[in-house]
Amino acid sequence: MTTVKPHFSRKLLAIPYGLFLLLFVVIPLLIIIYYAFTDANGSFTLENLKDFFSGSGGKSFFQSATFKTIMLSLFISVASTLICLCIAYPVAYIIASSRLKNKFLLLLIFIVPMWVNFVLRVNALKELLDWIGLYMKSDGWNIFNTILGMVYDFLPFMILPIYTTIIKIDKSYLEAAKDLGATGARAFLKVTLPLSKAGIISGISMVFLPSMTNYVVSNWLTYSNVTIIGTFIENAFKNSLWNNGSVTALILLLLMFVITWLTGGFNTEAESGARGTSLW
Amino acid sequence: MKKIVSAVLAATLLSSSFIALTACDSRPVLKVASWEDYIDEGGDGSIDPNNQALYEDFEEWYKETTGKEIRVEYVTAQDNETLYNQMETGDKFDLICPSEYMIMKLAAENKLEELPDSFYDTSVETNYYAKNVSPFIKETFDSNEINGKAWSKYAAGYMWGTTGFVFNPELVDENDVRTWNVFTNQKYNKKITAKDNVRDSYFAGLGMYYENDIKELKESLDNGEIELAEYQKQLSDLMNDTSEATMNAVQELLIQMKKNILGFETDSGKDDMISGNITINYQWSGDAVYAINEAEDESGVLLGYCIPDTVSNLWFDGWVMPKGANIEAATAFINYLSMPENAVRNMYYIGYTSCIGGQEVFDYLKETYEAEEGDATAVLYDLSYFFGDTVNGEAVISAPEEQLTRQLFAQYPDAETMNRCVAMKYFEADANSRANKMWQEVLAS
Repeated sequence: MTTVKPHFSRKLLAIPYGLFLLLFVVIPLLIIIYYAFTDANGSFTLENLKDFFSGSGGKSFFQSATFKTIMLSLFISVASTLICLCIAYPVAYIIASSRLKNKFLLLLIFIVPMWVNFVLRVNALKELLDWIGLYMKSDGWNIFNTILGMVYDFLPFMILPIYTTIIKIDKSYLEAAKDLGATGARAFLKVTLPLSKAGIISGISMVFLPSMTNYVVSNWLTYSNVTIIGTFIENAFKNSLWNNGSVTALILLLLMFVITWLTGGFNTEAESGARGTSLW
Repeated sequence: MKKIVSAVLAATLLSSSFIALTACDSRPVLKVASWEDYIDEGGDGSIDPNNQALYEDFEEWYKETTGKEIRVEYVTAQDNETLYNQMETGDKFDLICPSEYMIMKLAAENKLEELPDSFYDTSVETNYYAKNVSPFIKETFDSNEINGKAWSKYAAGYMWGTTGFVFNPELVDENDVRTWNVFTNQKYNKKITAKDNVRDSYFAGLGMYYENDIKELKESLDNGEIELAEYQKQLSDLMNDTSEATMNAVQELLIQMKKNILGFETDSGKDDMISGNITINYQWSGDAVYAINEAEDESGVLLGYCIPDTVSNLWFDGWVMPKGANIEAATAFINYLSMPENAVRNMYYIGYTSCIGGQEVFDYLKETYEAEEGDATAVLYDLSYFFGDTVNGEAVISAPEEQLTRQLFAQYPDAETMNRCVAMKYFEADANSRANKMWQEVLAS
């Protein structure tokens, strides 16, 4: 009998995933880049990019609807992400460190809403706001309601990654910290928080981009009075302006890339930190 | 051995995602694309619950009349733009039902087959479209051109209507909604909604911008200075003005409008009228009929529909054949839908107004709207401009007076109203890009 090295078979099993990545990640991205830098006839142009950064009707880019909308979208997504983080971290921490046998049951309370159709949830929230009397109250409330909608929708995406990193932290680190005289708060700041950094970062990236482009929330909860950048992309594609829509999508992608880079999302240390190799 | 197993496993994983279930049906396919709920699909919503879908009836009818087999694959698209994008990305259809501006765009881009001359030969028994189409629609389709050819060369009308305002007569003065300026009327602050798309909003903006010019135009028509045809041509030119200066001016008006209205909607306006959240809703006539019916059934509120005195939008959806279509079966399908009894079935199911005239359609209208005997408010409502000689005798209905601002008017406006309704053409590439920017400015204001 001959023996076959097992790593051959593993390579073969990776083929479907490789193909999946190619079909649904790489190729769509290339298509967006193609449309962003071509004109209606398919020849190379920077016109779309120029058009994006030029204002209209004698106004500069910084006075244009595009700039204003990106700023508003950024504000909404930063606020939504921060609020999500402030709610999610304590929740994840409490559940993870509770002595309950069935922690999953607690977690379920926060995950179950995710099982209900997203459009239904937004509609229900709209009815609820209407009933309380906050729906369509003023422009300020409209922005508040949009943020509320984003938080409501994306909170589970923040809780889950944080919970999974906290639950994996080796309890002996905390015990060691306390043996060495650290108070509870100090142990949390020096041990738990740094070790859950990976979860926080992945939570942020799960919430930040969707809440910048999820125009269903802003349209439904504000009667289309609040417009975020996702709406612009949709309108461009709807009105046969694929090239302009692609440029906007691409610029948004770059913006996300920069933000992720700035927050240290690409930092591999965060990953290894979760495994406890670079603790001190 | 292990290697083989894993290779097979990988192959299975891979291929399982690509296996498509293919139907074992050898009949040739007629692929039709239309909108959601836009044909009698049989069952509960149908005029007779025992009906099957109209396109299934067509398969049988086609076999009986031509002896050939056909299978209709009926799909729906979300809107004109989605349909256009689907075609751009390679979907093939034999027959589609876009709106007027998309028909013009497709024709201008040379993406449509022409309807054969034989389609309009009224001496052929099965040419139901040519024999039953409303003279009003026929005249509109013959007199308007795209690419130097009449619309009727490419399109057969299916459903048509106007855009106007659904309003609550108890809370709104009818005179206020007979002008486009109602959008900036402070009296209805946050009680009125607009449409969440650039075309309908731009049309409304033009209506506000050209209010006085159109009134002057109407005066010259009334004084006999210009003919009706000239009046309609000039009106159409005004409402299709996409010059940069006009668009900038309209942008400012729409920004003012946005400050006054509750918001932009596509579907929720009907419900908000019924619930009383708003008192005026910018609406397509077919949806207006639905809202008026529902409001009366649900809460006993009698809503009205009217269109501005100056100008309004004449829209229609028509059947056209993309390049490479099965012309014989596609034209047969149009003809089958154009049999007056089938037009009635569709109107009953959809609630929109068919482009088809004919005795059965008129009888259905009478059955629905005719005033009861002894109704003191009954007035004579003349629809001969629409039905012409497709009916026996005069196409006049004796209807309760309230119907002149309600469903009957929404479904079939009178001839005088239709004189001031114009179709809105598609935006040329340059205007389209400017319109998109203008709309962004409005949304972000």
